[in-house]
Amino acid sequence: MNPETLLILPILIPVIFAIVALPFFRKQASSAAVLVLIAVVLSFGSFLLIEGSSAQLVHPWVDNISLNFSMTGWKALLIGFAFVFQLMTCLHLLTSLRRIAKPFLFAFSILLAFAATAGVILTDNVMVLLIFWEIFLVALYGAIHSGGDASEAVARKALIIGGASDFLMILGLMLFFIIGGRPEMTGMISTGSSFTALISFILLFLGAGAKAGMFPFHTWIPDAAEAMPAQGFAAMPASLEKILGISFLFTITHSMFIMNDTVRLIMYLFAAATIFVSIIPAFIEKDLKRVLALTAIMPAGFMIAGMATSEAAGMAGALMLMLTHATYKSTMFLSAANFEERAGGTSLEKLEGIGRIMPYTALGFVFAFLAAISLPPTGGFLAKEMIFEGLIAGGHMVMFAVLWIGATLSVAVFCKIIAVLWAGNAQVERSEAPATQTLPVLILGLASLAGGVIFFAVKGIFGRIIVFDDPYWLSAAYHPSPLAVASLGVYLFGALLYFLAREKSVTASATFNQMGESPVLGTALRMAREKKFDGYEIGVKVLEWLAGIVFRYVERLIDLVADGLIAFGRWLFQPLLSSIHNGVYCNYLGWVIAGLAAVLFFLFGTSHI
Amino acid sequence: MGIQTNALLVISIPLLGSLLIPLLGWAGLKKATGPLTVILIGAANILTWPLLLPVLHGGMWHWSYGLYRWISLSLTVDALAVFMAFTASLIATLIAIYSLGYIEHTDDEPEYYFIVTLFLGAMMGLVFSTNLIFLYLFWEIAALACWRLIGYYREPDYIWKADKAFLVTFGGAVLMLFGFVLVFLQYGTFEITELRGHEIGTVALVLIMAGVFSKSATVPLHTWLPDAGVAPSTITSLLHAAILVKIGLYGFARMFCNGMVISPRAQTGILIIALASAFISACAALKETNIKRMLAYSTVSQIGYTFLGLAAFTHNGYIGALLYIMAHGFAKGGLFLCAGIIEHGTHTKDMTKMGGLIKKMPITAIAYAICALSIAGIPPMAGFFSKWFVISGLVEGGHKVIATLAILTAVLTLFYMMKSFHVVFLGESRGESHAEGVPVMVTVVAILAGLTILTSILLQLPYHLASVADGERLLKLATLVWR
Repeated sequence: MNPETLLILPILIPVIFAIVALPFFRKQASSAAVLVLIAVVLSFGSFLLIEGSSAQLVHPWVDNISLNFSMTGWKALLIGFAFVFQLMTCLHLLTSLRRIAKPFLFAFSILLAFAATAGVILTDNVMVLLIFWEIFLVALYGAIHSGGDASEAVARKALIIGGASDFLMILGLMLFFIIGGRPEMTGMISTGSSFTALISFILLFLGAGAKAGMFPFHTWIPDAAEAMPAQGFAAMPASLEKILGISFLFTITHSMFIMNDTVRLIMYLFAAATIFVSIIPAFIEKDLKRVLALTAIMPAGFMIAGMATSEAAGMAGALMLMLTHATYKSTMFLSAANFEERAGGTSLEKLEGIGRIMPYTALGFVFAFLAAISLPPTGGFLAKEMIFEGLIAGGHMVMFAVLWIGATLSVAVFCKIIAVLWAGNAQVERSEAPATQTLPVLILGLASLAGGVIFFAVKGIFGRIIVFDDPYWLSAAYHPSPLAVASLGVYLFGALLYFLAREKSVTASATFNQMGESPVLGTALRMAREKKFDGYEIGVKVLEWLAGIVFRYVERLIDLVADGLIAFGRWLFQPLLSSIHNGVYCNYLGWVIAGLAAVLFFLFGTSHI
Repeated sequence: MGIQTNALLVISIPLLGSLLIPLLGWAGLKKATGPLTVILIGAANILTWPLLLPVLHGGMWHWSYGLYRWISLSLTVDALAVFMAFTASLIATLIAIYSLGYIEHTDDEPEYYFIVTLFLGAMMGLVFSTNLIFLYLFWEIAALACWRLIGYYREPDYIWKADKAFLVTFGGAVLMLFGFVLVFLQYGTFEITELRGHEIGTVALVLIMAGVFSKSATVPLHTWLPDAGVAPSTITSLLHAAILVKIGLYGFARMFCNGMVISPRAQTGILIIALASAFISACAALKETNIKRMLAYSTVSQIGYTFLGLAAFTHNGYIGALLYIMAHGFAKGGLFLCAGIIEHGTHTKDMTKMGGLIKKMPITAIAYAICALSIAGIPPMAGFFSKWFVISGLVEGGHKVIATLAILTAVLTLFYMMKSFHVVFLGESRGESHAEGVPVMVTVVAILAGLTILTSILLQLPYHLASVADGERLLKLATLVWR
């Protein structure tokens, strides 16, 4: 088989397995899990065969849309990462799939998502990218819904938010193509060159940001974390979806537009909002999966800020954070799935001390925790350092301060989680999850821990996509500089914040609960929990209200007028028509003769025209 | 068989063949009327196949049979006509097959099948006609057939709604006829081919558009369409997916995209009406709880979308609109037929009394989901590509604000379609629910859902046909400029 054909196998194999083979195992969850694993292994195998090549497949489709796929070093890195998450998730599913409410739907959705991910990464055509992106969205809907009937509302929320943001992106792309004069995602158009360019950028940015979980499109994420199986969240919103969103944002900021200060400011505002609207509620959140989801939103703010710097260090840092975050957050969610299975839920109160009875799972979680708080030598450390460096190099000190505060608060939140897992009295019997479920946690945990080292190894690939100097990389190692002091401050202040709050709490899970009692912040957080600030909920209410007004006062009114006119016409003409249409034969005959006369007059009387 | 004979057969087989159906009924062969209808409509569809290849290669044929001075039966076989004939007859064939399972227990089967066949015959006559008088003639045959079919169940309220549909569409058509007369007085011809490139007056345009909008159920002349939901589901499916509302769209495409010229101000006016129609009816669909009325409002909204594509008068807009006629036909046909299965099973049209039907009707549920996603414009369904080209056409034509508002309407569509799927198929059952529909009905909805996906996989074919239609349109305009 030639490399060109092999190129599409990572897309085709999961689809074929999902449609052809999986339905035979509708009622056998364990066999379905094996099938999913086989599909991913085969798919991975086909990827390995072409990984080093620069294969390209171009098949004309319609108009300027061609089925255009290629393999590059950067794509190989992304898809390689994606496969690692997929393999680990599948390994986990071998024993955990049967515990999911709708296992068949989940397995089907996850295979579809894997195929769509490969499609998004491998394609070079924007239309095809959109198609795979939407398939991913539909797969996400299915994966969330597989959590049970109650989770459908959340699934719908994710689909509608995703769909709406994609429509914005489509409009942005069309405007871009009009400005660029060709349907390609390159052009380096200055955002300051015209109003259309600015609008195009904003629309594309919102679309890509929405995929990455940016404010205000983020509200489905905590709900989905609670409703969908944790394994699904590990594989999709926590990892693959963020990778897709941020890599597209990178394309926008790196290949499509030259950003000016206006759009930079817009991006910073969205980044700051994303950081704070996610990390502050995380302090008082009482469910582990929701905390993890909120802390999965926050890094999107960091990544957007890194991209907005237009500095090589900032952009490389954002890309690295994208990969490292996917690694550690997947670890955490797979751990959460193990905890949930044993404790029967993920409320922090229930999970107190569970780390001691599930040591391997908890160990993997701790590795991920170290990456999450960005301790060296993790990838998280390297990524955050580079984003900070990019912000300082660009002179964006206010944003640097915002990110620094966000990172510090994040350390405090994660300290609370670790304390919950390791402190207190366990409420369940000691028993670790099966090896198939602990192994992925440990492997991904170790990968999170060694992230910095791994990224040094793949430096060449980063170097090919972003031209930057070695000092940026070197700065990742400890050396005396103001930035090193700032980074140290993140750990110290974060830990200090946690310990101060912990002293005032009876249990580890109740730490920071005091925040919920403060008059202003507490009220705001309570309102946020009640979804008073949820853009989707507000949007739905506004939409329903608007639709109600239009329906009642415009559409029904038109109908009333139409009915009235028809009734009036009937009233007016019915007596006349009744007298004409009276059932008397000679009457009808008269009409026929009159009609014939009219036709004859028409034929001969108008012959002068 | 020549192109000319072929085209004449496409028109005459259903039109004249329909007359055989009552004869079979009178001869006591009621059961044979359904299969005969399938054969007649299916034959019309099969006869469009040999026309596809010649028109794909850019072929175009025109004949005129003079009847009286300026009244002649003028037929044109071009990409636009074949595209419409193929799409409408294919969907109508599937609906006729579905009817075999749906309508068998009613009393007036021969009448039903007679009018359905006549209805399609009128549509076929209309799509190949390029003389305004014949266009009007077939237009009105369709209106009469529609009137009889909407009131098929004979309940007083249903008859009132059938009368309403007839009066609105007939009223619009009469105004359109006056418009044709004004055009004739201005240019001395009823031939669309001779009117090509001529700008028509505002009064004539308004009168013609009254006919077009009333037939295609565009706001404010739309209210008859939701009311027509009292008809059997097969008929609503025909009205929405294959024939009636598509007549208005086709009329507009034939008269204004491939024929007469309108001023930029009039174009803006049409775009605004189309957008308002798409938005207002999307709002109504969101609030409606009767499944057939909800789908009807959705049709009004999507027709507005299609008008946006046509009235943009751009390459992408035109292609998008034609593709949408096909994509919407498959998807909406499927949705109405799903609604028919649901109504049969639950004995209600009220969505709030449904719920949890996916467990009892899994195939219908999947077909409904696929068709709903297509209407919502989610890829890889065919609706996505059509909407892409329509919006692209609007942007291409410089109508960026309208394109933005059209996208907002698309979001609204996604919202109400997902809501309807949720209310009908998911959650707990809130009322009566039986098992899946009879095999023939379920097979047809599955085929329509399959066609929705297949159209996007084999997008080259409809796209190429639509491109040829657009190429012919542009060629004609270029020729006029040169002249």
